[in-house]
Amino acid sequence: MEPSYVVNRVSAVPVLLVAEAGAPDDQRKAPILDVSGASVAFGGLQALDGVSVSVEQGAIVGLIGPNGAGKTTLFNVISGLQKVDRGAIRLEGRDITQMMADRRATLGIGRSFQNLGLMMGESVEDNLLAAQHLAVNYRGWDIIVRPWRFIDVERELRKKAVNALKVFGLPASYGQKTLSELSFAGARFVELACVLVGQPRLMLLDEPTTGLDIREVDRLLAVLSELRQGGTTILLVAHDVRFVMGVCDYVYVLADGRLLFEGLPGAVQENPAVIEAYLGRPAT
Amino acid sequence: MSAVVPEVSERKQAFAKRLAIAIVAIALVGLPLLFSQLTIYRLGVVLIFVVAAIGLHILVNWAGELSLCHAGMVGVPAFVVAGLSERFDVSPLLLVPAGLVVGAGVGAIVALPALRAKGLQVALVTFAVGIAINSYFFNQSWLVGPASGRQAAVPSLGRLTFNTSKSLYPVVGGLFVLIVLATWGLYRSRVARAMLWVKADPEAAAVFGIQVRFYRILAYVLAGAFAGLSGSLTVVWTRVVSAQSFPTTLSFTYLLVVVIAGTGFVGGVIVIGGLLEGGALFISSAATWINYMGPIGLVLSLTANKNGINGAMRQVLSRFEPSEPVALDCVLDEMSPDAESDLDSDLRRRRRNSRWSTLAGRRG
Repeated sequence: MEPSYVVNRVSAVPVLLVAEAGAPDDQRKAPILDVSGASVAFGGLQALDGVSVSVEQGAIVGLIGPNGAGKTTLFNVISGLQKVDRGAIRLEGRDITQMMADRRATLGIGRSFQNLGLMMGESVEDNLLAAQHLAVNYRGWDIIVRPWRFIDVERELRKKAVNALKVFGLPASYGQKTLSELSFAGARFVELACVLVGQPRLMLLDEPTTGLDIREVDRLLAVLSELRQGGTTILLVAHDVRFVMGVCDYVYVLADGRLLFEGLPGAVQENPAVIEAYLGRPAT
Repeated sequence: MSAVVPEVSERKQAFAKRLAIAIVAIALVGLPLLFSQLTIYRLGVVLIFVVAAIGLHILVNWAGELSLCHAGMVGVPAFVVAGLSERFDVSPLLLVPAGLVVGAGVGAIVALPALRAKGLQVALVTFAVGIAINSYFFNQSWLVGPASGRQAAVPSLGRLTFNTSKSLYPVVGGLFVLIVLATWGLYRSRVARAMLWVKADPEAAAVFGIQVRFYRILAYVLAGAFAGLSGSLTVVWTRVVSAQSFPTTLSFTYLLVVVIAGTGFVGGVIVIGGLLEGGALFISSAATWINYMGPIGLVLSLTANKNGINGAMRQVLSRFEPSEPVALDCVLDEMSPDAESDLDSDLRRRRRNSRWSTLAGRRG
């Protein structure tokens, strides 16, 4: 039986089809993210070689490729953890190539990590509160000078943290658990909730389905669809090709640090070069 | 109904917590006044030691940084406060803020080389700074005064003069309570969370908008500020400070305390700081015993019990936490099997507890 998320195919594809077919410029959505000619080398290894990726506002774009293709390096480049040797990154037309990661976060880039970038020794709630760092509008001295303000803001942050947990079907009491007590899937949802609670305009999700079973992937799919309806743009990396094909409006395929193919999910699945890169033999 | 019950329960819990804190604070400030001058004096020394250890706790256990020059960070502000008090005949109590600022400044200076180093190098760099402070600055007469040390003026506030430990203790004890409360606020704020995240995963912290370098520097500045508070309170309490008051080895004692205390709030620091410093002061025969127990505790903390005393205290306290009467079944209907299995044991425990409470209610 096909997993249900394949059936849950999103409905935004026609919009992109219209755009590709040559809709008037004013009807086209401007790209929120534009990576052009990004190159990164680690010594003699060319991790990225002139990769260009464009993500339209409100779309879910997938990034796939075999191991070592450069997907996570590209994520690091976009989120500011890795400098590019050549190329440029623009967010809503603004050049952010030289910007530090924390500065990019203030512009609305949120990200999850393949191996969970959380505080495993702290509670779920503390992680969710820390993820709202940019939303905190009290100063350090308010703790002593205006404690009432500090308490009010913290209370609001806690409410948002509980709401973020609810999005993933987790009860408020889950917040008191230490992250290391949870299963990997539980911790994965907490990480996604951490990204979500920051209300980013562009979400970068690195292998969000890793460690999740089919029901959990379904829930994730539902959450992503809701986010898209709310106007959030998502760029995701996933090994689960069927998930990518089921949720993404557009897909980029990387191999050996280069862009192998880009297109609509259907076209990607049928492309001989992509099949060869994945299977290691020419498509028959 | 179920939504109202936890709210009331939470309010009751919050009120009980605040009441307990108030009772402990009043007891800490008031009860020692029943003791002798010598006992009070020793207790004051322990409290001031703990203040400095809290600073290093923030640096090590919250931010994941290291300093082997903490004694120097306590000593420099102490000499500045003592020198100003001696020269201008000003109450050292009024100079406590100055000590805090000087300490924060020393912390910032230590941060400059420390943040350029990594791993073991941080230990070596800060140790070198500690040696430099001890062998250079603590030998400068313009800073430390004559060999007998600097003699500060008698502590006073307006017309109130504090000639004895008993009269001064409420002020120092009250300041200690305020410092712990401020640290609690800090611990529950974005500052501590940012530091903890920087310690756990600096790259992830940066991606969530946390300025990693800023918070690392801030950790040193805060450690210095607490050291400055401790140094200036030392002057207030003892009135005399000399070059021998802050030996390099004292830095290791502070480090011992915070490593055994472990990550968390300052409870572990107060317990271990009190045991080590208080043990040596109150039990004359304990000095040798502490010489052995301290390092053994350190080894145990680094190997067997990595969460330290704070972790052990959290475990004990969690056993007394009341169960929340929340109906989880409706949530579980929507949940995935993995999340269910995580919550399953919790749910069973709660159901068992609710059965017990129902039974207890019937009996009642």
